[in-house]
Amino acid sequence: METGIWGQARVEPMPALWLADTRRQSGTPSMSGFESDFEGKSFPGQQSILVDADSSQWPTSVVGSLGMLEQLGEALRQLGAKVGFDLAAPAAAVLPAHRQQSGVSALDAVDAIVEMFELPMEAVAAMAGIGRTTPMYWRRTGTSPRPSTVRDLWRLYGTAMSLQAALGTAGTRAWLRSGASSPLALLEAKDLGKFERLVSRVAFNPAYTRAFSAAVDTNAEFDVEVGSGTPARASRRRVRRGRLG
Amino acid sequence: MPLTLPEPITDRLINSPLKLVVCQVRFEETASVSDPKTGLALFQSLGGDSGPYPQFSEFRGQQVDITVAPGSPISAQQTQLAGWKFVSDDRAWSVVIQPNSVSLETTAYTTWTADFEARLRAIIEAVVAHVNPAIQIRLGLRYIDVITHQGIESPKDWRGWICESLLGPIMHPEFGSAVLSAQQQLEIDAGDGIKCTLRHGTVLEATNASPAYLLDWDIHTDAAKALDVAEVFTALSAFNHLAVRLFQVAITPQMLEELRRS
Repeated sequence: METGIWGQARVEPMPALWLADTRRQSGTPSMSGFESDFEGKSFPGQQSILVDADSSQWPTSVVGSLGMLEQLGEALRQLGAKVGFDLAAPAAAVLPAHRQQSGVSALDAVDAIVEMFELPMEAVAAMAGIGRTTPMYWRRTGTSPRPSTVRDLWRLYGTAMSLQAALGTAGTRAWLRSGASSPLALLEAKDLGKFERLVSRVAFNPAYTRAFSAAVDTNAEFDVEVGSGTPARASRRRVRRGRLG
Repeated sequence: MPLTLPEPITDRLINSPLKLVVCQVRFEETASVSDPKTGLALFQSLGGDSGPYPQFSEFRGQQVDITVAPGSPISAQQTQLAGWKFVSDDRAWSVVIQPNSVSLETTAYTTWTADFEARLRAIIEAVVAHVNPAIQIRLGLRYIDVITHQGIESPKDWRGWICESLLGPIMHPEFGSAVLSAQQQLEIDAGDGIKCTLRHGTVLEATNASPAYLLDWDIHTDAAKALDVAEVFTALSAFNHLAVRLFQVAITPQMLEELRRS
């Protein structure tokens, strides 16, 4: 049996265009992932891709990577991606080996976020708007949640994958806890939308990611300012890496 | 303003830059497509094991619709899909039939009249016979041209080969020569409900990092109407004609001659 993913994403550059155009249908998709054969193709408008995959693919990792589509082409390039398998690599990297050959379940996504963010499962569940013990129930019973239950979980997973691709695992953990008002605080406040916008600003800003990676390497700290482009080095204090919960 | 374009030169290009062609007809959700008996009937209608698409497989996946807009959270919607995929032995042609669409895609396009149209007609007629969708929701024909040329080292070198109006900022007198890459998306109203989304710009081919110019034409109509095979092909012929005309005004006469030359 062949499985596949249709990924059809739309990025509207101007609010006016967006408002005028929300009913537009997505474009004629190609099956071959043809667009990924090029570097430097990052169109500001509508993006349509079709990823043809087999059962070992990670549909949700594609969702995750697509979640930051403001610069899809650049994101794919940075991930070293041919659409599909290579996009899955960041997801696979944070999961136990025995889970790396199957599709990402909601429970996998929770585990991946727990591992990457260094947070308790209950905290991740709360951030994703699901019951604090619900993932334990999935694990115990082997059941799968309804898609509507885990919509925010996939959004969170998508941002996590994008962050990991841009900053690495250590960088992601440090970034989450950096600044006076940390990104993690946004998640604790369940402001996922603001968190996504913040991630989109840093994860696809090469200057930021380079500078942040350098700071992580030297244990320096950056202040995270929503709306700023390149971060400013704030102090030489060590990055706080405490756990929640 | 109606779109007026010159009649195209219809010679088949010896050095065609056309890398991929996709045609998709979307219709209302039709659950019977997922029935294995329907899949098998469609496969047999297209010649089965001895037909042009002998590789038969189930196509199961997810449609992911993601919208990113300034000031709004990213929204993602997943839809489970189940359908059928038929592929030619050389994998150059593939047919995907899903509950809400049928598409034909090829990397081996030759001409509309001598090849693609006939293949597509057989496929759509099979879908009508075995699935019987009532409403055409969207019709799209997509041509992806990737133009390469010796001596192109930077975007400004496309001057003389690609229409300067499309090159835009690359031709800027002050910073044009410093542009490393440029891409743009255009929405063109061709009249009669036909639109063309053109994504174009400089790209690097991932395999060898050689400079190329991408012209990705998605000609489509979004108006829902009763699905009529004859009307579908009337519309698609018009799409094809429009695509040829648009392509030939997007490149320079000099480039067209290069593409025609053996």
